[in-house]
Amino acid sequence: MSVCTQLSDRMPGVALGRAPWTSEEQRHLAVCAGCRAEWALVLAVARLGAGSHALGNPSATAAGVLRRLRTQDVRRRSRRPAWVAAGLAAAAAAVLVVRTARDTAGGTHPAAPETTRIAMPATSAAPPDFPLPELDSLPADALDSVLRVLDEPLARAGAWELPDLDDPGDQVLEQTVAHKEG
Amino acid sequence: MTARATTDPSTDDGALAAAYTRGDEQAAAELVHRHAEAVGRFLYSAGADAGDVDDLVQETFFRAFRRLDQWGRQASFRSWLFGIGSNLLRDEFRRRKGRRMFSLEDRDFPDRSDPHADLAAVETEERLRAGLRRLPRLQREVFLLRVNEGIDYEQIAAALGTTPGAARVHYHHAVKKLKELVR
Repeated sequence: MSVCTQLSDRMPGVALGRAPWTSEEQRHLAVCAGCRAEWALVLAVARLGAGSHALGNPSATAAGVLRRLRTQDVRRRSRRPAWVAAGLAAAAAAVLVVRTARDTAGGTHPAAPETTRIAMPATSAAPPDFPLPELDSLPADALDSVLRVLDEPLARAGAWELPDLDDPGDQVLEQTVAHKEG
Repeated sequence: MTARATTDPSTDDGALAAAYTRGDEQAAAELVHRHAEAVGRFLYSAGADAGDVDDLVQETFFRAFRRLDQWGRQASFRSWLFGIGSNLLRDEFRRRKGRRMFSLEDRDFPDRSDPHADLAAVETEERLRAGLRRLPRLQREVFLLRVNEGIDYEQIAAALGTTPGAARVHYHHAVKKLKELVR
């Protein structure tokens, strides 16, 4: 790693006051115009960030978040018993239908285990994955050229996409009941 | 809200998150107190309107607490919040597409008590804001997380869904484009 890269890596920490420059680093800064320009940039942006936004009232934010979470929780709880009851009723009906059909057919039924399978819908809750570990082992200039190509798709990529699912369990139950009820 | 008075400040974020999943609301409040300012600073620096920042911060935490099971711990809790905030911001920009996507250039500059304030510094700020606005999203966010928050590339990569090598390259592209502005 070149001295310039080492210095570049240390700049944010020094700009944020978390570490000082060593005398060797200061000597390099004095003679390297590129590092000086980067240091001026990092300092300017760090100052811009420090003075940019102070959140009005974290307690109010916390209270607002908790209120919304409680409201959602109450909604979920009030909805769940109805679906649970409906689900149990549907399951019981399914068992009855199977037994009645067998009795009608006149067969005897030893204690053979029956398995009822419910098709589970595929869920898209997992975040899209963009593993690019091979980039880490490439030299910087090769990375540059790869990144130039990848930049746009990455910028549009939906990493950390969090679909708006309330409760997958509820949804499966709901679909099962809807199916049973025709 | 008196969460701070009753929650041990040395408790780590993971323990607080686990406490919240067991129903301890004060643990959640403590997490908000710890990270709200940094999340707000990031959202604002990355282009959120000043008037929207508080709402976006609240939405970021709301989504985080609803999906705590998705926090994989490969990122710190704060970095994970930055990732959620970044997605929120992107959605906000998309929603506003055609009206106004960024407002960095519209913002007031910080008050300066000195009437003979350094005009060159003000101009530099103006150029920097415009330069940040023009950067591709990932370059801008990697750069801001690195410079304003001092987060390392591994954490940035985990937060923004990329790799440390790619994050490093994004950072250097951003530096290359921006450093001409402060010469």
